[in-house]
Amino acid sequence: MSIVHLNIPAFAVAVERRVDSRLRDRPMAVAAGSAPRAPVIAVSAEAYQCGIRAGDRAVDALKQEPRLRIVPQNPPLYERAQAKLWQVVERFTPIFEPARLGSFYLDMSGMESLFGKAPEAAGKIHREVREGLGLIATLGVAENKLVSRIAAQVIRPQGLCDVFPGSELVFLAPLGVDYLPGIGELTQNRLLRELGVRRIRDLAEVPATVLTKIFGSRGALLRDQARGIDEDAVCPARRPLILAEAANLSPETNDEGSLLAELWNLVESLAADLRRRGLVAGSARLDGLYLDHRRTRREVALIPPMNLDFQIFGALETVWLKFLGRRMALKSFSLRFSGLQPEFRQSDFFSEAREEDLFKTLDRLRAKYGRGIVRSGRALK
Amino acid sequence: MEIKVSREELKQGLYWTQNVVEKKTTKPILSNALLECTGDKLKISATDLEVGISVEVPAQVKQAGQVAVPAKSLYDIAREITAEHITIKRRDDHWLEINAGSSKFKVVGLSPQEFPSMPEMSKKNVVSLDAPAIKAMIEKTLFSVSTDETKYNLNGVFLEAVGEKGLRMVATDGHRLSWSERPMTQSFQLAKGVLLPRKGVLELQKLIQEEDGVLPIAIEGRNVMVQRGPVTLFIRLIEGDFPDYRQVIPSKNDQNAILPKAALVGALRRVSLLSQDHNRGVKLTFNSGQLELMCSNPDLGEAREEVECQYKGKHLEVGFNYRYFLDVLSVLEDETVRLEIKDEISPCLIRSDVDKGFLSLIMPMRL
Repeated sequence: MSIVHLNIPAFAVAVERRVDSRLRDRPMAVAAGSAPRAPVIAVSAEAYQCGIRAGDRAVDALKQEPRLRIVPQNPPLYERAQAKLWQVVERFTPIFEPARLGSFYLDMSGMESLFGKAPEAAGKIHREVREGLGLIATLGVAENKLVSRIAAQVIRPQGLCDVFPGSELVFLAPLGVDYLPGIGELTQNRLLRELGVRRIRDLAEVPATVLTKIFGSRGALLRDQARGIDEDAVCPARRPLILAEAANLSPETNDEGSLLAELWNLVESLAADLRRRGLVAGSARLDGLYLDHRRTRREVALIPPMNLDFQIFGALETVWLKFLGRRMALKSFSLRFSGLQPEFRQSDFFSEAREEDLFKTLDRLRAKYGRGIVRSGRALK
Repeated sequence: MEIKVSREELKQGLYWTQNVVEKKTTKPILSNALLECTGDKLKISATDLEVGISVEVPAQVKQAGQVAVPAKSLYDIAREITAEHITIKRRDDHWLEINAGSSKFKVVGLSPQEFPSMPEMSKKNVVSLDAPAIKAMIEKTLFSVSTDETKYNLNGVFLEAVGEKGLRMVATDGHRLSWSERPMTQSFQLAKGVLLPRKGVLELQKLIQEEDGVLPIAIEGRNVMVQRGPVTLFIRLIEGDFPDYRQVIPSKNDQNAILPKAALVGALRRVSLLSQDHNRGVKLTFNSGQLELMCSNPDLGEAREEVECQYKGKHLEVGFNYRYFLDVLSVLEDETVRLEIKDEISPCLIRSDVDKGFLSLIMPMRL
């Protein structure tokens, strides 16, 4: 097997820097929010050198390094970047597994004729990510997921590390045990205290029985990991299907009537799409952008999953006032359906499916004569 | 109030109250049992305002009186103590002192005046029904009762008289319907049917499981009273109109599939391992001489199984909730099962050859 691990170190930092060039070449961190006590979730290499770590409070990090620039996290931005990264990865292999944001395992077995051997393919991926997305990746190539991940970690902040088959033990030997997954400060201290082990080489030599005595069933796993053994396969990922549509408001407005009419238009369009695909949505999310560039978001669970306009609109109305929490005009807003699943309908003895029949007829009319043939009063501003 | 009572008798008496009392309620008195001591008896009562139960237990009453005490705590005490007899004494402010051997408990109680009054029922309308028949009818209908509280008129079992001495129970949740009808030894006068709440029927089922024989039952106004030995059960009827179930019974289901019940149950259990949790759908494909069952799940995969059956009708593919089939099949005594269908949108009718008074309907689902 040829596994490539692609990782964008400090993904949130890398994406923020890609968007705002002023953040480059200076210590920076991304925090979970804008409050002073919000924890830092990603730090740049420069900030790391200053001693700032993920988990520190923003206020403490600033005390430690006054030059530090902290920005609040922007999850939609990271999701968009992840989607772009996904598009790059799926061009190289159909078997890939997203590990977390900015991190993928790729099974390159059988792809030699298209992209060359795994290290060569990894080089191409590196180039594509840098040129196409402006992000710097580290890549590890190995026989299994564990070693490829450690290889990508070792080569930070950028580059490609290829571990030849059979040399896993030699590669891992000089590294500290904290490179192994699941070994945090507590386990490190325990290994040092009870066995005097600091390096992976030393851990690999500890008999399995001893490790089992100390760590229970995890002992055998630790020994395998120290020897570079990992039989986990790359689990092919399915991109969750999402349906989304946005309304750009021109001119910007905070008039509730106009906004509700726009919302109805979005619901009508997306719900028709759901029905055409034979799907129901389990969740609906509203994202809005105010005139002052601040964002607003509200999500509502659709229980049971649904695809009829009135039902979805009714569910969104429950969060609508919270969504428009400020007296500021909106520039745009979008509606997104997720948790999509095939539609099923349990027939009932005593209730007729009148609403469903109505929307089926509307869908048929619109498909034949265009969307404007029947308009809902709610869509009129 | 002061009594001495056998631990075993008290435990048995309190056992009946455990499913009736409300565990989470805004009215604390409803999680209490009322203890009333008169003559040589201790009467234990509990209610949730929908179902009420009273149990009489023999006791040595030294001083008559009454008190309301937390039913669960008292039951737990009766279960755990080892002494053969328990002395219960009421103290000031409704505190209860319980002495059993070397164990002593002080339990906080409530004023008996707060306890809701149980319905007063005259015994002139009591009829004796055939207990095993009622038990069987409950078993064959209860699973179809709706648990959706917004459909309050489907939250119970509909009971009505049929002919001179017949009784019918019907339950439906809108997706399936069960109908059980039996002749009784005594006639039962009901101008129109009554709707028994699910919880009341469950208690009634528990009461019948104790012994066979006759079941004295009386319906007066909006209440039903059932008495068995020392236990009296009160059930408040649901005030709502049960839908006209007769109109949904199909008369033209002319495509019949006959197959062994065990084979169908086994196949359903196996293919349903890969069904989707949210719809529990199974697709039944009827072909000549064969029924194919199929479940598919985008996250897990697909399962198929074929079962030989006597079927000579047209090719049909119909989706159903497999759970509904398993529920019906679990109460059928027949070794073979007959599925009567018409098309993809009509309900499937299941009849029993052993129990001619039983039928079940299952609505299809679009998969």
